[in-house]
Amino acid sequence: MQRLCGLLPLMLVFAPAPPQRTFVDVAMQAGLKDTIVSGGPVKKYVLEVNGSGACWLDYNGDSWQDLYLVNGSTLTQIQKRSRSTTTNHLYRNNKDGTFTDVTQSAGVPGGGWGFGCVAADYDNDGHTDLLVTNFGPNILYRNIGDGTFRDVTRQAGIAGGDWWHAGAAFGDYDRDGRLDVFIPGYLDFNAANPELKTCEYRGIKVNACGPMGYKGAPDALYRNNGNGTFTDVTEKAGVADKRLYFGFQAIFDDFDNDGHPDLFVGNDSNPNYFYKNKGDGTFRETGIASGIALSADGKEMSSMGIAVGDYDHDGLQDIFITTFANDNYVLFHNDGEGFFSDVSYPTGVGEATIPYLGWGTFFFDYDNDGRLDLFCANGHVYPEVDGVLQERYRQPLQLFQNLGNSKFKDVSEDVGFRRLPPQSARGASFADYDNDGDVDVVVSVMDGKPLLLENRAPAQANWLRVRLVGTKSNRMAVGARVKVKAGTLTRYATMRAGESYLSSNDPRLHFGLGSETTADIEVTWPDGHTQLLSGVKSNTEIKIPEK
Amino acid sequence: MGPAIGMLSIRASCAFWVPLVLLAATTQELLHQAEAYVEREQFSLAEPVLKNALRLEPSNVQALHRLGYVQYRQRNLAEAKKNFSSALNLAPPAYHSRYFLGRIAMLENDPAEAISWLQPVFDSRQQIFDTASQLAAAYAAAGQTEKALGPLQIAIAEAPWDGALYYRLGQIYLRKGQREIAQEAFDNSRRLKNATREDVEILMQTSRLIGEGKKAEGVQAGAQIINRSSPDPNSLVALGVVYGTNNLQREALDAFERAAALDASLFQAHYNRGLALLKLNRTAEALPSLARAVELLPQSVEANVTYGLAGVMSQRYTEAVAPLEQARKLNSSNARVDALLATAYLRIGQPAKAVSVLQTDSLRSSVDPAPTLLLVEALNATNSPEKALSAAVDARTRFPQSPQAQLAVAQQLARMGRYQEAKPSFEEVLRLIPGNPEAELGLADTYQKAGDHPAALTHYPPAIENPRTSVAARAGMARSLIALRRLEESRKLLEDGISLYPADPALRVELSRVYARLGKPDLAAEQTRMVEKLRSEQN
Repeated sequence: MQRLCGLLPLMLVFAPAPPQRTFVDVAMQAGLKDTIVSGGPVKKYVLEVNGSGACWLDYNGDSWQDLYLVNGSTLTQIQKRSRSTTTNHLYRNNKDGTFTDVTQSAGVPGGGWGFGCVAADYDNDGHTDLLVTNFGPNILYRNIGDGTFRDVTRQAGIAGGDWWHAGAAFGDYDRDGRLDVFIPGYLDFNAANPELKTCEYRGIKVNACGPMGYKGAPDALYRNNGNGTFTDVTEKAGVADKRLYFGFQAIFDDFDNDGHPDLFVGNDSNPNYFYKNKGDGTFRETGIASGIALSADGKEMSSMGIAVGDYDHDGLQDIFITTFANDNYVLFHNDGEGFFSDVSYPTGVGEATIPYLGWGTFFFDYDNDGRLDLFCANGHVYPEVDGVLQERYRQPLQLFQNLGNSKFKDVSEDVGFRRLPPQSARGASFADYDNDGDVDVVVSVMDGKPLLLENRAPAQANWLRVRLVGTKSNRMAVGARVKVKAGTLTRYATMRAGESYLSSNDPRLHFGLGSETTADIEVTWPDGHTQLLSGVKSNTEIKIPEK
Repeated sequence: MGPAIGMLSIRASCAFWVPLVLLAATTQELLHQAEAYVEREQFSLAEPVLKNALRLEPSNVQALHRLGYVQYRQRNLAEAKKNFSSALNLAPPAYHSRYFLGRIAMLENDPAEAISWLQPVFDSRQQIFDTASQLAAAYAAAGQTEKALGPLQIAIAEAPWDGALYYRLGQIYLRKGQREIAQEAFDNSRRLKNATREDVEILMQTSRLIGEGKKAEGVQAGAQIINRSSPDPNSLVALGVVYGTNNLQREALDAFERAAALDASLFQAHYNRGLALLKLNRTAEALPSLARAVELLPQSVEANVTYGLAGVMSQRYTEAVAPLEQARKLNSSNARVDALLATAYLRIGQPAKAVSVLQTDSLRSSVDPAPTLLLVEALNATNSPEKALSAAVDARTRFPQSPQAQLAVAQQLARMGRYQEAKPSFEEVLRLIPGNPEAELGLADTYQKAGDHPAALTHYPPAIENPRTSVAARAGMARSLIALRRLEESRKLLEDGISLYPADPALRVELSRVYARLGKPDLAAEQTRMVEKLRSEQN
């Protein structure tokens, strides 16, 4: 015994470290083998460098998340000078780690040059529909419920004309139980006769210049009439983009916790919009006063991707924005009442992101410890930088682990991101696609195959997954706020449809519980009433119909 | 004993008397006596007197120098050299003795030695005889025509009536292949030689009087030329140069203006008018004259440089570029011209050109950190932050005691978002220059970025006091006060700032935030409107 006790300290010193959680790219094995097209290999125009999005949705109602990847096109195709060969892709989850391309049979090929997607049950029939935003008219696919979709764009009235549409978001801004949609406009690009603009980026000549030098495209808010149609209420609601900023991504969330979903619009190289919902069907734009229009240094940001989450567990949804190279990504702490402060540097995400150019981003609890971590998909817009500047066209993904004291640590290396070949990544979203209790990630890659990053860990921390079903509220419960209390930590999440960059996340709300085995859940539905469930067991998915 | 004895007695007494007189005279008295002989150019009589003085006081420097001089005038060069050298050894720097040693060297056909004696005299800036002219001659004789130019131009400034100097100038330019300027110099020489003797004498008199401190009398003398019914423009120019050399810039300007009015094609009139205006800090007014001078003589390096300098000083950068480029073409590797041209390019928004100018050898080997710091600015303007950082670090390595170089490194790191790395450099600047506003601002920002708002608040106030950093410091301090929920203090700070800087949107952005947090949405909205208006005006 004494001998064993003597060995104990040595055993502790030499005990192996707990197995590291890693992400492994399983896209090929999973069957995601189609290349994502975004113009030609030589990027001559801004249209070709912004990539496209990725959406998770359970289109067939089998409780397994399927994947919709948007595809771009080429100029010759959209100018009709060559045959159209690219389509978007709907991959059905086979429940065994693989997917099958069911695009054609489902009837969701897209059309033209695709950019973003949002999965949402806009007609409250229990089947998740799909909105595809395009360069050119958008497409709304209504899920028929039998594994197929129908293009109902014309009837719905949200095609939006020949503008370049970007990252849309659904939200019930007027709390009438029906999902409305906001579609930002990016810029006015003449694809029929594009102007070849050459400019200088840090001393080197580049071609795909923009958005400066172009006119912006208008944003649009469409109110859901409840009968399959929408009405353009942009002006009436007070969200008209009079300055024609270059809108990239919109998000609905109740940032000031007053029960009404507000609207944040990330604008590229322009001040962001923060539309505070006045509760009377209109908004008031308060970006500058709220402190979120500009960075801490008073500069406009190239706001590409938007992540929303309560990283410090204070019940207020914070906002993280990915930006251009040589500019740090910006983490805005929600100070309450709709006010924000730039805390990029004190939290540790500022300096670490300067070398990169970011797109898809989201908060998610990758290690189920109860704290929201931060993911960034990176990639440059100018291939010309390779070999000339220190920046690279293809860049690594980044993961920042939430340390719990309002600090983040870059753990990209630890989780295996550095072992992956760098990519020029764009859209990204998360979902527990294999239903194993941890959250996986899909990344849309420019001119390459997508990445499907399976989250692997030998031992799991506990988790809880919540699927909300609205009955009086919109069926998908978009706008509902869920509070999960387990042990000392209280976690908050909002049900959203449309975020990151041109993408949609798993519509089920995932909560890491650490070592806790039960949790209390409080749901605040979009109309403001709450519903409580106590002692919910961990490591399960719970469906909560609205009562 | 008759008259013979008396005569002998007288003669004998005289024979005794002279030595007695000599023995009784002091060194000073002997020197005075020698001086009297020198003034009458009776050098052979002065020589023994001086030698006697030296017997009394062998180390009397004045006696040694004067003995050397009288021997020099008698062309007893070897002895003269010895005595001048002794004077120099006893009482360096002895510029006057050096001057004559230089003259002797030239007479002995040794221009290299002449240069070694004369250069320090020239460098001392004491106007000793015609040192500038002699030095120029020595360089020319040594085949170093480029080095002869500077002293010759000084000589002309000192004696602008001397046509021979212009002739020598013309010869030098001819040897350099600058025919146009050479011709201008030859023309000046000819014109001055044709000038009336009376004008020359007036000019010499004016110069002498002013040199003796009798400025009023000098100006009065010079007025004789100005008040002529038809003054000679060349004489007017020469008069202006005399005045200008003696810092009578207004009088000089008057003379040049009159000359230019009389002869619109007289390069010297226009060029010197421009120069006089520059010296009077009337830089913008100098531009037309300098432009005219360059138009008359495009090959003149001095005119192009001066025109460019005036353009930069009066912030007419676009106008400054062409003459500075021309000056650069005519005389490459001039660090001053390169720095001015780079500044002009930077200010007109062509930083890439500024970078290429600043990376020439002349500036790389500069002993002044300023060009490297300008390079940092230019590289930032071309969006090359890593290169700018390298340049800043290079400046700090080459000039470790330069607080500006240290500050450049710190600011560059901060610009690149590497605030914690920048912190020690900001602290070092403050150690070297306590209270430096840029360093205080930089340090405050690094604390703010680290989330240490109380520490940031101790460093913003000194930066607020300085107009260069006031806006940024106010905005930064306001942000920290907001973070600490000290909203009323932030409000006052910003409102005061806006009254001083109403057109700056940065302060209004923060004030909008403050008003909103104070529950004044209408005031917040008003500031937002102002921000949008100001930003669209700036764009």
